[in-house]
Amino acid sequence: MPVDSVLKAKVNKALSDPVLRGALGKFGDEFPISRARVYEGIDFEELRTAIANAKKEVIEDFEALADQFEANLKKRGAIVHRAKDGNDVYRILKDIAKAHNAKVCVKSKSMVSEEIHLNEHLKDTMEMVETDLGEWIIQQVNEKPSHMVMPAIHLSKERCAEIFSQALGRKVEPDISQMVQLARQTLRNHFLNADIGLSGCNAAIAETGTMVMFTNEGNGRLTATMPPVHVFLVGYEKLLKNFKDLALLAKALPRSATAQALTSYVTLISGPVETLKDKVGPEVVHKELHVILVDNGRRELLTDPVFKEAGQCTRCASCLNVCPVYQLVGGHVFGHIYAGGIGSLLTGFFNSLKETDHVQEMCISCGRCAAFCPGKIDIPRLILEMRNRVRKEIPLPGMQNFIVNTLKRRGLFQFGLRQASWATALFAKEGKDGNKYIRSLPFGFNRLANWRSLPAFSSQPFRERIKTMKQEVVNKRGKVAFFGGCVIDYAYPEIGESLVRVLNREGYEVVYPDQTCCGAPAIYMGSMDVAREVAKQNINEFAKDEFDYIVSACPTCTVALKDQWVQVLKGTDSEAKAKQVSAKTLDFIKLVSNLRKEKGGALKETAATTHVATSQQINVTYHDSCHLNWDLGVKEEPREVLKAQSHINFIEMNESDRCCGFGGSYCIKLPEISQELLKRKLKNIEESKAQIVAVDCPGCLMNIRGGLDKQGSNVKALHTAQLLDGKY
Amino acid sequence: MLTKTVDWLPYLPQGLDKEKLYQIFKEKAEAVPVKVIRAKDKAEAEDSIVQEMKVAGIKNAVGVPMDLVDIEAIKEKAKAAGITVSSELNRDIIEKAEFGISEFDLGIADTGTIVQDADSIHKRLVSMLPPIHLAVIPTKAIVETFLDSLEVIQKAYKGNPSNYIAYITGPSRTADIERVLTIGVHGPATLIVVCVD
Ligand code: SF4
Ligand code: SF4
Repeated sequence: MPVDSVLKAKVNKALSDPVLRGALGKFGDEFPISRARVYEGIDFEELRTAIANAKKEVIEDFEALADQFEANLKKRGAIVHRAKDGNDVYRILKDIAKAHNAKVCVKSKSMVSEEIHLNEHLKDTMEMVETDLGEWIIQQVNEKPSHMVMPAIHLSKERCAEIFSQALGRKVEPDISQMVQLARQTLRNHFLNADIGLSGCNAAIAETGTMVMFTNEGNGRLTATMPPVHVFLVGYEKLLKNFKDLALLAKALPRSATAQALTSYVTLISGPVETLKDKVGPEVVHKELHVILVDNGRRELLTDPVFKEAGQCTRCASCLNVCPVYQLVGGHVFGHIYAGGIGSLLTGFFNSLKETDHVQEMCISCGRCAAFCPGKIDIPRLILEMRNRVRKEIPLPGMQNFIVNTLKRRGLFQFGLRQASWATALFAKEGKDGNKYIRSLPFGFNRLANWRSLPAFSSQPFRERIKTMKQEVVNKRGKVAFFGGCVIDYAYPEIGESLVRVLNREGYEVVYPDQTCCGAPAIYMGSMDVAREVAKQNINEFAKDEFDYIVSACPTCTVALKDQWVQVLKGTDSEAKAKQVSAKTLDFIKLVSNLRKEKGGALKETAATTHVATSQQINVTYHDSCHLNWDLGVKEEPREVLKAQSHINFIEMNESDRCCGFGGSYCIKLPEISQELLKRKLKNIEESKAQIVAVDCPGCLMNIRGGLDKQGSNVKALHTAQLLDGKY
Repeated sequence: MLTKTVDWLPYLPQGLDKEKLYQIFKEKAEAVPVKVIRAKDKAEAEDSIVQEMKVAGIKNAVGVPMDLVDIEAIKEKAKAAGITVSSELNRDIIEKAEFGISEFDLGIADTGTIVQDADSIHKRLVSMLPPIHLAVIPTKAIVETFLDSLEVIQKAYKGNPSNYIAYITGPSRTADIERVLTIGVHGPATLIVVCVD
């Protein structure tokens, strides 16, 4: 089962770990700020496009580049090995160790070695010593890294002091600089005595046969210098074509990883370097340099039509640093060896689909990570693809499976939603803002409603209401097809009514074509097949020439119509129609902004056209819905439109673009996480001192409104369409 | 005769604004933090190296043969101050020294970085084992960007870079415990760069 009691227990343990929560939370707050500072004056889009292009070239040609890399190294006297998997690596290393009668191996950081559990397999051959401080600490207690760049971020200094005390056999105080000095002294001896040095690398340049390490502590340099033998573990995805491509990586990797302009050390090794005979000198000899090119699922990844995009990863870990779920639970829950969203993809190939199952389920599909990725990888989309692949092997559990299958069956789906109106009516109570809420549910369902109230379903869905709505279109300019989406249709039909009135005033008649679910829930649960079915059921009604625009007031639906239908209908006879729909689709707030700008002049002048039933100034803040902001790139438009209303006093809340925790079916699957995300959102809303929080997504609205109701808050949550309609 | 196998100077980009690049280099390096000193000639550079050792209270230092300064002259001047400077290639001597002196080939203004052909084991040990590292670079060899440095290397080695090229930006550092920045893990905790005109 994808989300089972084992995962739930891990999630709950992480959520109640104050050290983890403190460390990750603080880091999550600080990282985006320091990162932005170090990228000042650099065009990030241009840079990451260049990186993505350079990596794409490598991916298309990686076998030939690996050959070139190997040939160049051999010319210089290096010994190059190819390893299919971990077993090959163990064997090669054991042979090297035997030939040199090696007792100690010092390691600088290598994620490949973590991925194949190298230390464990070689511990009977020689002593394996991690020399990166964080790696050394977790090695003492047999833990796995919880972050790709800061492996021990989950441990407090007190815990580190305990680990030091035990490892060194004496009491060590939790004083960080003292611990660092102790590590220097302890590991220095290992460096002096080691027989083999083992390193990972950040780049492998085919043109020159160069391996590049970006490090800060200096352990990479010592590992490459002190022992008479040096072994590099190189994953195929680390290849770069040209020597000068390294400049791109040097510009992005340290900035994205640790918010540094450059790491303390960048080391380029292209052949067996000088070393001292018998480790002490003075006679100088050449080292024995081994390079092991490791496959372990990489060839499959790099040739996969969908997932090869993940080969563009630089392992900077900035996607974890900004991920709201990672910030809550860390890399031992959201990760296997490689943490976070990208980790769930890599694990699927380097380990197995089964091992990534729990990991990929953690992603709430907020889309934030993609905006930060220097490899320009659409991580959230790939996670959905991974989920789809995993689901083919491991089916969904009961509740979610029921939902997905109901989506396919149009009649049953609509019947079910209607029945919900009378079923939920039994539990509905009126809230402070006059809306009907469900504050608790019977049986096992209470876990869904005990942390935020749910809306009572409307007795008359929007699809009925529009039939009797009188549309007064002044100076008619055209016709708009409205895709309502399930939440507006059945829970919040009044938002649909507001949308109609606002667009009427802009000169557009609104039609409501026959429609069913947009299919997004199926996509987010990993059922592309169901999504395709559902898209097909909708497409004919929307692919019509008479519509000037297709609009939705739910960004999740907008993304479905604009992007996902094209993806799922690719190669079917509906592909052309999907493209037609995509071209005309935009989100409500974007359409309003466009129309008002088109009318010429500033938004301010036209703001007077809004019929507002208030003479008083109101304080309004705005929550950025993930799919609107990160997927559709609409961030300024709602602010411009709201600020242009003379009666609105706009206040920016803290962290306006942080996920509210709704995530569609996610809040059914992992309510523990959703709840934490919502808590933080509500706090930011309350602290803004706004009277109204405006949102553009009915899902966020449901979540935030429910949370505010549960808290007995005086703040009202409204859809932007309602605000523009003057209905509050 | 030069101590290095490949001279990078002939391959610098044309028309560098030496003063401007030096100023940027100094500002960026100091932020990392690195102590940056400028010397107008060999003798002044040697004096400031000895002065740095005196200030740090050094007893035992190590260095490699260099072009920009004369290691023998440094030894002499240091001796007068009671400091022993060894240029012997012996790991244990270098490991016990408190101060290492070596020459680098290039500076990068953008990031305050120094770059070196470090195939020589002697150069590497002197710059990585002692807790203080002092590097001399030619002031005129400061380029603007990382990319510029790669181009110089490509040209100087005709597409076959030396086996070990080292880029150093500031002291050795870690933030592995509670993300608290701590200087001086495995490499030097202090980096001093003397730019020789
Ligand atoms: S989409 Fe959101 S939840 Fe998923 S990995 Fe990216 S940042 Fe994390
Ligand atoms: S996926 Fe992108 S952001 Fe994440 S580690 Fe890789 S390069 Fe960095």
